[in-house]
Amino acid sequence: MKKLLIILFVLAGLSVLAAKVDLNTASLAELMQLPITEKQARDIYEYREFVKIFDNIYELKQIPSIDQETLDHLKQLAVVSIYVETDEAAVRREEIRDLMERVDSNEGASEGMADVWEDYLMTPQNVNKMLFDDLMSFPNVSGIDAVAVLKRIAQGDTIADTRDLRNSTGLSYYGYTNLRSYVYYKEPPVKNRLMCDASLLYYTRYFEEGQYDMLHESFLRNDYNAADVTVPHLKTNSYWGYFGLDELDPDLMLKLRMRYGNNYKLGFMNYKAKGEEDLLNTQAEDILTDSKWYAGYENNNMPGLYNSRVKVYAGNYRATFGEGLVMENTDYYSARKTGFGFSKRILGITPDLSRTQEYSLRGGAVEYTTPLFGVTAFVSVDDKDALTYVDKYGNAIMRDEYGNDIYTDTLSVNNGHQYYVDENGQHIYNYEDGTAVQGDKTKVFSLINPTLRYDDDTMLEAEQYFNSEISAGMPYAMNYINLAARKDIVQEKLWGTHLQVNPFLGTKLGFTTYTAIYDDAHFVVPGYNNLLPTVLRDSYYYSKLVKNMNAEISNLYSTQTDKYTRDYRRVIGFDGQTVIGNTSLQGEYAELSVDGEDLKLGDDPKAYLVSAHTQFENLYFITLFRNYDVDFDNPYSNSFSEHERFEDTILEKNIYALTNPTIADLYLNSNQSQPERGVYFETRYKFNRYFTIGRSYLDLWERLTDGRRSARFQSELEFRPIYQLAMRLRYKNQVNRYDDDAERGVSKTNEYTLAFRTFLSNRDFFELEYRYNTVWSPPYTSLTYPAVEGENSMAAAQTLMIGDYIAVNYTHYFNKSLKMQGSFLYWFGHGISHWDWEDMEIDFMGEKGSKAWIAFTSRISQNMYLNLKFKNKTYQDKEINIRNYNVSDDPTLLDDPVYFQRVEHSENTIRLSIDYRY
Amino acid sequence: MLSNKSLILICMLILASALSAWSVTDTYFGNPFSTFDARSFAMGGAGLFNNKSAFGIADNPANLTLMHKTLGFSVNTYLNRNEDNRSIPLYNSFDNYIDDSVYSSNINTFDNYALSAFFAHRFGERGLGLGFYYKPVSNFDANYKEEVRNNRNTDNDVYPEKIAVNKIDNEGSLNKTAFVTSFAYGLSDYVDLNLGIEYALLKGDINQEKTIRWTDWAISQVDEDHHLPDLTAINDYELSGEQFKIGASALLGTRIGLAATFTPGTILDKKGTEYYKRDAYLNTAMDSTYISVNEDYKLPSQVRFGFVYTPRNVVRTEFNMDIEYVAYSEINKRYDDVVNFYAGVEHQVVNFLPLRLGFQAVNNWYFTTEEGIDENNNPITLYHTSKILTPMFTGGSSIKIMDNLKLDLGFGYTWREYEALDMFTDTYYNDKIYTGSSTYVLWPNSHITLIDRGWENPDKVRENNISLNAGLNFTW
Repeated sequence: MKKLLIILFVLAGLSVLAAKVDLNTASLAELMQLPITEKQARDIYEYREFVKIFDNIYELKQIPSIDQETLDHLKQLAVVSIYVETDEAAVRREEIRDLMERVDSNEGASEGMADVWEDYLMTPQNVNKMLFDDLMSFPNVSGIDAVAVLKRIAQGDTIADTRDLRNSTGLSYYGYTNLRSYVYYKEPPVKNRLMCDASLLYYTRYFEEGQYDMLHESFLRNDYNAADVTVPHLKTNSYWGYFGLDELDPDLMLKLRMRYGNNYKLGFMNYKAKGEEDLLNTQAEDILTDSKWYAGYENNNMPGLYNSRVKVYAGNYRATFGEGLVMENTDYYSARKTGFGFSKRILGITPDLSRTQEYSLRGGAVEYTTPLFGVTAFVSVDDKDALTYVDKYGNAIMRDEYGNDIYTDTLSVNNGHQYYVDENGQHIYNYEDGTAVQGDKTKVFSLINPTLRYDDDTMLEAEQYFNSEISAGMPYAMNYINLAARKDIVQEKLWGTHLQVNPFLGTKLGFTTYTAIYDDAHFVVPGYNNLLPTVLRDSYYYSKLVKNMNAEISNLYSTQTDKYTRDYRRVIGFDGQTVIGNTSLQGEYAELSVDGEDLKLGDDPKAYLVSAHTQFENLYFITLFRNYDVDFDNPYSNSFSEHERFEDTILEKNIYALTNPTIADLYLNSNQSQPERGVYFETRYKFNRYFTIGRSYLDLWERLTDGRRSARFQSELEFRPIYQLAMRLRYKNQVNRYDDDAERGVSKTNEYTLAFRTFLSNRDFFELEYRYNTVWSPPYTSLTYPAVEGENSMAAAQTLMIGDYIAVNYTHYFNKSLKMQGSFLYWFGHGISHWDWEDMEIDFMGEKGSKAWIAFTSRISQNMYLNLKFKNKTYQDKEINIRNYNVSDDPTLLDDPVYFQRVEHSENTIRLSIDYRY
Repeated sequence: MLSNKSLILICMLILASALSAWSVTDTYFGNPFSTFDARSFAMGGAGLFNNKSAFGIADNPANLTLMHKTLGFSVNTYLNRNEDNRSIPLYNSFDNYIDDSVYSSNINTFDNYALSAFFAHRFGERGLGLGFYYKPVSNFDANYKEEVRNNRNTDNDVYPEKIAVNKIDNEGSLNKTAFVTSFAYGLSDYVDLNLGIEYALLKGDINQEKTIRWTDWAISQVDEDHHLPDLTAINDYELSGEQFKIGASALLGTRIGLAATFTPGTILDKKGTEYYKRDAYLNTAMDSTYISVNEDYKLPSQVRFGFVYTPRNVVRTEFNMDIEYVAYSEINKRYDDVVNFYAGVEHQVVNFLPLRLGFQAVNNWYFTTEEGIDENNNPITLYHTSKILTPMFTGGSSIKIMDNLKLDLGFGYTWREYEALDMFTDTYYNDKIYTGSSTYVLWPNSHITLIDRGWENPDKVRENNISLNAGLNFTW
C-alpha cells in the first residue's frame, strides 16, 4: 500500500510537471491560460519573441509588468526548457560576429577583399587540407605560420582542434589567433547550404581636395593680360560650374551575393558614383554592362590528384599573383603595401564586386591547384575608359594600322573620303596597293580612371562649350581640348596565365604573364621633347615646366614608337617564395615587353621586389627591396611603393597649365606605383606587457625619374601601465633631398603624436590625441624680387610650415548590438595635410578647420546590420591666405586689396549602409 | 546707361526669381513635411507601417485599426530652424573660378502644429475605426533680408554705406483636415490585415511679400529732383480642394509587417491676387499691376511602400523602411519622377526609454523662369528645372508620462546645396538710371560695373534645418 502511494504521488507530480507551461514554446493563447493578466501574458510572449529566449524562469523579472509575487506564482506553473540553436549558420554567425564586424569596418582599406574573408569566416576551410597560398591569403598569417601548419600535416599529423592548432611548433600567437577563425578541423561548422548577402550603401561624399581643385580650373581665353579685353567671369567655364557639381549627388551601391556552401557562387553589384546615372535611370540593356557580376564554381575536393581544387569564374574576377608586379587588378592605390599583416594579398582568382571599374577583369578564369603545382588561366574582354586624342570638334582622332592620323575630307571633291598627310604635306587617299585609306583605330594617350564618368555626348557638349571660350581670344599654342577621357572607348582583350610549382613545403616558384590586346586603338605617347606641346595649352609654360618628372608621363606605354609597332601590352614575370627557419623570403620580377625579346631578361623595362620576413614570438622584421623602372607602365600592377605614379609631375602640380585639367585624373586616380628604388625595414616588438614598439619602419628610396632621394622613418611606442590605460607616442620623419640643396623639392618633415587611451567598461574607450608637425623647406629668395645678386635681399616665402591637431575619440557600446563611435577634431594645417582614420575610411585635411562625426552601428538582428554615420567638416580654404596678398591689377580694384572673410567649406556627409546576410 | 525696357526686364527678373526661389519662396510646393508623427520622424520618417502612435493614421489610414487600440489622441508640434546662406562665385586674379563666398546669411525659426484623434473597435476578428487629423502639408513661411552696401574702401575704418534693404516676408501653409476610416481583419494574434481610406480637405493661405527699400542715406545722396524707386511685390493666394488616399497595412507574424499607400494626383483651386509696384523715376512713370489669379494647383501622385522588421534582439528593436515614388512628371513635363527613401531603427535601450535613429533622402523639383530675349530680340521665357536632394539625419526618444501617455521627441538635421539665381539683381542699384547722370552718387569707386548674374554665375545656396518634433501621444 505504501508503495502504491509513492507511485501515485510520483505520477501526480509528473502530471503536474506535464501540465506546466513551457515559457519558451508556449503560444500566446497558452500563456493566456496562466493566471496572469492578458498584458502580462503578452509581455512574456513578446519578451521571448523580440528580446531573447528565456534561459531560466528568473528572467521574467526583466519584464516590468511581472512583479515578485507573479514570479513566485508562475514558478509553480511554468517551466523553461533549454533552448539550443540548431541552425548551424546562426550559431556560426554568432561565433564570428566580432571578426565579421572588424572585417566590415576594414572594407575601406582592403577594397573588395572583405567579401572573400567574410565568406571564409562563415564557411571555413579544413585546416588539414589547406595549401600554402590558402593560408597565406588570410590577414596576419605569415609564411612561417603557414609552414608551421603544413609541416604537421605533411608529417601525417592531423590537427584536431583549436588547442591542437595552437600547439603547432613555429606558429606565432598572432598567426594562430587570426587563423583559427578561418579554419575547421573535423566537421565544417556549416554544412553546404544557400547563403545570401545583400548590401545597400548610400553615401553623400564630397570630392577630395585634388579632384575639387581640378574641376574648378577654368577654361579661359588667352587675353586676360590685355588691358582692353574684359574676361567674362563665368562659373560655367569650369567643369564644376558647367555640371553644377555644387549639388548633392549621392553614391549608391547595391550588392547582392549568393552562394551554395563554398561551391556555387553568384554576385551582382551596381555602383553609382557621384555624377553618374543611377540604376533607375539606366537603360535596361546597360544595367549588366554598367554593373559587376560573377558566377563561379569552386571545389576543394576534386577527384584525381590528391587534395586538388578548382575554381572557375565567369564575369568579374580579381587576379593576384606574387607581389602584384605583373597582376593585381584594382583601381585603388595604397602606400606601403608590404603584403604582410593587414596589407595582405589574396592570391589567385577571386570573385570581384569591388568598386574597381577601370582595371576590372571581365571574362572567364580557371584555377587548378594541388599541393605540388597550380595552373591559372584567365581571359577578359572589357571596354576601358581612355584618355583620347580628340580634334577641335571633340571627335576622337583615328589612326590607320600604319600609324597615320586619319582625317576625313569635307571640302574637296574627295568629300567624305579619308586621308592622311604624308611628310610632304600631301593628302593621301589611297595606299600604294590602291585600297582606300581607312582609320579604324582610336588614338589613345593612356588608360584613365576618370573622376567624372558622364557619357561621351555629355562630355563632348561641355568640351565644345569650353573650346568656344578658349578659342575666342588670342590663340593658344593648343587652342582646343586635344585630350579628353572617353568612356569605354577601348576594347581590351586580355589573356593571362600563372603557373606555379611548389617543390618543397613553403617554397614556390611561379610564372605569370598577361597580354592585353588593343585591336581598336593605338597608344601614342609623345617623347620627352614633344610632351609639353601636347599636354600644355600655352607655350608660355613650355620653358617653365621642363622638369625631369615629365619623363614619367613620356614613358607611358605606347603601342607605336619609332622602335616598334604592336597592338598589345605584354608583361611577363616570375615570383618565388621560400621559408627557411623563421624567415620567409619572397620576391617577384616583371618585365614589360617593349622592343626586346619576350623571354630574355633585362632587355625591357622591368620591376622587381624582394623581401624577407623574420618572425619571433613577440617580434618581427620585414626587409624589402624594390626597383621599378620609369618605363615599366603596367596598369595591372599594384605593388609596394611610397607614392603613386605621377606624383610631383605636372599632372599634380601644374593642373592649371594642362590643355584639359581632367588629364590630372591620371595622377589623382592613379593605381600604380611610382618608379622607385629603395629598401624598407619594418618591425614590431612587444617587450613586455607594459611596453610595445608598434609598427615602426624606415624607408630609404630614390625616385628614379628625377633622382630625388628620401628617407622616411616612423616609430611608435606604447606604454600600458595598467590594462585600462594606454599611452602612445609616435614619431615620423621624412627627408626628401637632391644632390643640389637649392632644389625646391627638398623638404624635411617631422610629426609627433601623443595619444592617451582609456578603456572603460564594456569595451568602451576614450582617446585623446595630439599631433604636431613641421615641414621645413629651403628659402626661395628667387620668389621675392628679381633674383639678381644684391637685389634679392629679402629671403621670404615659407621656410617652415607648422601644423597640429587635437582629437578626441569615443566609442560606446550601449550593449552588444548597438555601438556608437564619435570623434571631434580640430586642426591647423598651414600648408600641411593632415590625415585621420575614421571608423572605416581615411580622411585628409588641409588648411585649418574642425570636424566631428558620429556613427551608429546597430546589429538589428543576427542577420542584419545598419550603419549610419554623419560627419560635419568645416574648414577654411587656402584661398583666403592667398588673397591676403592678392592685390589685384584689375584697374577697378587697384590699390584695394580684396579680403573675403567667409570663404569656408562646410561639408555634411552622411553614409547609410544596410547589410543583410542569410 | 540702361534703357527703361532693360529695367523693366530686370524688375521682371527680380519678380520671377522671387516667385520661384526654392525654400525662401517656392510658391509651388513650399517646404513639404514628410511626417508629423514624432516617433516616425525620429526614425527617418519611415512610418508607413506604424502600430504605435496615434498620429500614424496620417501617414497611412490603415494604421488606425492596425494599432489594436480603442481610443487615440495626439498633439504634435514642429519647430524648424532654417539657416540659409547664399554665396557668390569668386574669381582669382587669373580670372579662374575658385570658390564661392557667402554674401547673405539668414536664420529663422518656424513652428507648426498638428493633432489627431481616433476611435476603433474590434468585433471579434474584424475591426473598424474612425479618425480625424489636422496637419500642415507644406509650409510657406520664409524670411529673408539682404543689405546692399556700396563699395567704399574700408581702409582707415570707413564704413561702406547701406544703400538699400531687400526683404522677403512670406507666411502661410497648406493645411489638411482629414477623415480616416479603416477596416481590419485579424487572422490570428500576430496576423492582421488592414485597409484604410482617407478623405481630406486641403486649405491654404499664402502671403508673399518682396520689397526693395532704399535707405535714408541713399535717398539723401540723390538730389531733390530725382527719385530712387522702391519696389513692392505682394502675392496673396488661397488654395482649396480635396484629396483622397488609400492605404493598407498587414502584420504578417511577429517579425514582418508590410504597408502601402497611394495618393492620387490632386488638383486644388488656387485663387488670389498678384500686386506689383515700382515707383516712378526720372522720366518713367510708376509701374503698377494688380492681377487676379484663378488657376489649378497640382500635387503629384504618390505611391509609398514600407515594411517593418521586428527581430529578436537583446534590446527590443524595430526597423522601418519606406520607399516612395512621386510622379513629379504630372506637374511639369520637365520634371522626372523621383524615388525617396526613408529608414529608421528603434532600440528599447532601457525599458520605456527608446533610442531612435533614422535617415531619409528626399528629392524635390523646382523650376525658375527667366525672362530673356532670343536672337531676334523678342522676349522669351526661359525655364530652368533642378532636382534638389535633401538628406536628413534623425534621432529621438520618448518619455513615458503615464501608462498610455507618452511624449515623443524627434530631432532632425538636414541640409541641401544647390544653385539658384540671384534674387535681387545688381543693376537695380545703378543710380545712374534714376538720376540720368553719367556718374554714380551711391558708389564711391566709380569703376564698378553693375551687372546681373544669370545662370552663368548663379548663387550657391547652402541651407540647413534643425528640426524638433514633439508629440504627446495617448492611446488606450
